[in-house]
Amino acid sequence: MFLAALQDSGETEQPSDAALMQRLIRREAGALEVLYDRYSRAVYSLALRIAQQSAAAEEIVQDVFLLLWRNAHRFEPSRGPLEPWLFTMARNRALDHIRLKREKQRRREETLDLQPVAFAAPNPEATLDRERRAERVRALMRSLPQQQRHAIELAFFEGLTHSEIAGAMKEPLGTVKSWIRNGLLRLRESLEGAS
Amino acid sequence: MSDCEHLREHYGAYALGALEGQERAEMEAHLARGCPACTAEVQRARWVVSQLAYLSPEAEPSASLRRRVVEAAQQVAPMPERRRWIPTWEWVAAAALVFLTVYSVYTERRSARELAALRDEIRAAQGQNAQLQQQRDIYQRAMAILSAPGTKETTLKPSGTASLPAIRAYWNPELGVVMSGQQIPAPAAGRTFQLWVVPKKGNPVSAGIFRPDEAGRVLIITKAEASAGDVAALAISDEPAQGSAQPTTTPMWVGPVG
Repeated sequence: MFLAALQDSGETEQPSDAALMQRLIRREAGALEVLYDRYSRAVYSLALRIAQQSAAAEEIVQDVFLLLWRNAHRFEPSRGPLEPWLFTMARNRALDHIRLKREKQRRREETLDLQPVAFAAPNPEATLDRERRAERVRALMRSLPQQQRHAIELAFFEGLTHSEIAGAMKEPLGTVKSWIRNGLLRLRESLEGAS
Repeated sequence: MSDCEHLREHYGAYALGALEGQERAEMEAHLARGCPACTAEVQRARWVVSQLAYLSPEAEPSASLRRRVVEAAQQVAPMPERRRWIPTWEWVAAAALVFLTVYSVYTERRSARELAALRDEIRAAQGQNAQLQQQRDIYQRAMAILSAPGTKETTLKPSGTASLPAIRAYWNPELGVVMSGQQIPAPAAGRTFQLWVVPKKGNPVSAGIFRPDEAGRVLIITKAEASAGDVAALAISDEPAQGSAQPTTTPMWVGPVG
């Protein structure tokens, strides 16, 4: 079942992420190329959105895929799909980049960012293909009030905390918390709904 | 209201990294206790948050990046194999990875015999599932230090002219030190690094000896030295392999604790 969770329903002709990770363990560079072709654009887009510099974004993409290559044997399908792991690594590194650039203190989470984290995607039957998931995320966010959307984006793309967002937006802390909580709940419902 | 009910509203913000202060500490402490329901909910929230990546305007990396990634991959070796985790025990796995990637030794005991025995104990822990409980305890100690209200963050900066990376540390007078660094050069053969707690009055107190791993990474999780009193700084010096009762060289890194 866990292996099935890695299947990308939109790319049935393509090898699954799990199969490619097995080939990565055997040091097959061809598998890395397939995974790169599959995810590099999304990973780069995210890194560029946060870091705002193409050179830094490319460095982050390279770091993420080399980390994947070096740690393929540590990847466990039971800890969730590959895609959120790639996104999370790219996001953490890109946020690191802008924090260092701003000479802000790194928070403790980044100190331990090599620790494995697990993700629980909906069951495979309910998982939309990537294109439809992306569209649902964009549509849901477009449907939110502008202030609520901005609060979530400040947290995700700028790495700000509740109080930092409240300060930046000059809104009450409780309001910001409520915006983020309710916005993420609606996003979850949208993504977990039947395709 | 149970802990789980109380924390339910924070799953998303925690996964997003927006949770802070006491709320974050409560969440981490609760997860560190291994609550299966909240762990599962946080994992779901992490997945939802990861999907926000699709809000990024689509962009294309340069064509040369693909070649650079593949060429670089063929020049790097895989990380050492690890033993198999207990799949459902997330925190234990996290603790074990901490061990495998960056483990170092710390102890207040200074005799060579005691240090050697402790190292053997830790090596055994790395290879045996029976020791997973010990690993989890260490991880929880680290989490406790990181999330405790009185913990202070400091950066140990190189004190000499040598080009060395800074090392980040978190100090709690009651719980101890978590210290992490990367690209740390190995000490010379027969030498070791030693971490010192420097009180405002009196002599430095050893917080243990350590060496970076093969990749130059260090993670120290050590108990506090209660007798140190008011602490002014943390410092690292280069010492003989067995460690020293007092620093015998000028500290290579120093970080104020204020």
